Amino acid sequence: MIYLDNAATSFPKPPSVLREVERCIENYCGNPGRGSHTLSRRSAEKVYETRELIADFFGSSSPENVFFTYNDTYVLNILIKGLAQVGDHVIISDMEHNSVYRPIDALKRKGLINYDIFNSMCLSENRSAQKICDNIRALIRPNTKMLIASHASNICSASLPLKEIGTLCQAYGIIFIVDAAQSAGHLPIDIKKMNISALCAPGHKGLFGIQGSGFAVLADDILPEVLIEGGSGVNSLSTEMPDSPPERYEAGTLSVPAIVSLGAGIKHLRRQTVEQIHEHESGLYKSLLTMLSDIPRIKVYAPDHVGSTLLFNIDGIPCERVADMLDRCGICVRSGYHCSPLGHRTLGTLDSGAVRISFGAFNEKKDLEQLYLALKKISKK
Amino acid sequence: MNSMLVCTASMASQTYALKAQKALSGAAIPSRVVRLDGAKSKKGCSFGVEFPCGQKRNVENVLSSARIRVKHYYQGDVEI
Repeated sequence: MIYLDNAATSFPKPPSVLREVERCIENYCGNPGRGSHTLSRRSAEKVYETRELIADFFGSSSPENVFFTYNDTYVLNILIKGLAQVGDHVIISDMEHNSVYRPIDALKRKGLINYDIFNSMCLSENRSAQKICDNIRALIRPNTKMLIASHASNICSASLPLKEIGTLCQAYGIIFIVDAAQSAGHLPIDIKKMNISALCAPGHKGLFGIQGSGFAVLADDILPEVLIEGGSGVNSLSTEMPDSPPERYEAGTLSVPAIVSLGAGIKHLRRQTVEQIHEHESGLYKSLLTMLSDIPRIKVYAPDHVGSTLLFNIDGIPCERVADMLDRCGICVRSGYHCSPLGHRTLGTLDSGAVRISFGAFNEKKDLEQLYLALKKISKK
Repeated sequence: MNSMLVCTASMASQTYALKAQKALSGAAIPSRVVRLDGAKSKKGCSFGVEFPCGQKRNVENVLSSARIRVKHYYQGDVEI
């Protein structure tokens, strides 16, 4: 089987991740932050170690500002709904996933906020960081509270210039929330250097954790209202959640196996640099693009953005059928809208959807050669 | 640690206690993370670090440098 759906979840996981999950369940999976017994303590120590690994990986010196949830969508909901106040204005990019678009639009439909969508110039030949920032600046109002942007798209390899956008947000006093669902582990991110207020990511994609390990890294001055209340292991006699992260946002039992798997995934990643991973994936992208140019009915969208994700259609064959035929050839890809109607509207694929190929660190050129042969055969049907 | 000479710094949560323990370990100050008993835990379920009382001044400096907020210091059960 050839797995090319790493934007949905990475597969396979490094053996060290599997070993850590096994070790956790066999040896130390107590409930962290609750009891004072050995297993609870060991579990808490491993969770704390993962907070440290994440903080260090993303340029934060505050592991206590790293909090865990079940996935990236939960984190984004906590931040968006915990920071937005009545009358606020919000800016999002034209490539946002529904994990941002839906909560923002829901707040608008309730009459609580307004929002605008900035043009990230994915299809423009004159794209530059400055022009993207100009587009954002034109939308800023006196009541603009926050800007939320996906670092890298989940349907093509376009990415945003975080440092420049972060500097712009800082100049206007705007909270800058970054969704790193597709960039964590693929592109370099430093929350301090990029002036990021809050970074959100899943653990199970480019960071190689198992599913169930979303997290946020908060800047020191970001303290969203609490969205989910319940047991936190501290101040149990109080009716209120703790006043500081991470426990403030971690009501209920954490998924310790998922969290420690994420820690093991980051340790695995640190054997090389993120730049090296990006280079590897970019090499695969370029090779595949060259191969696909040989197949006349294939159209690749936003091909100039080189990275880990490639979106295409075969003229005359619905995307779902292409994905189904590839699956029969033992190749896993994803078709449809990828929970990203904004992105598909931006790329002009809102009527048809498209087929997404997403590489991971474990893919090799021979995988693409198999894909090419299969697509060549499919395109002749 | 002799209980008469053991001091405790109470923290917002076990996460902060673990961070404190790490910072103290880096300064070669022995400590351990503990769950606080009722007398030191008025809102219920609190955590802190125990350390030798003779190190209190050093502990204050290390935790302050690491920006770890201590709620209270205790010697035995007595707030100091």
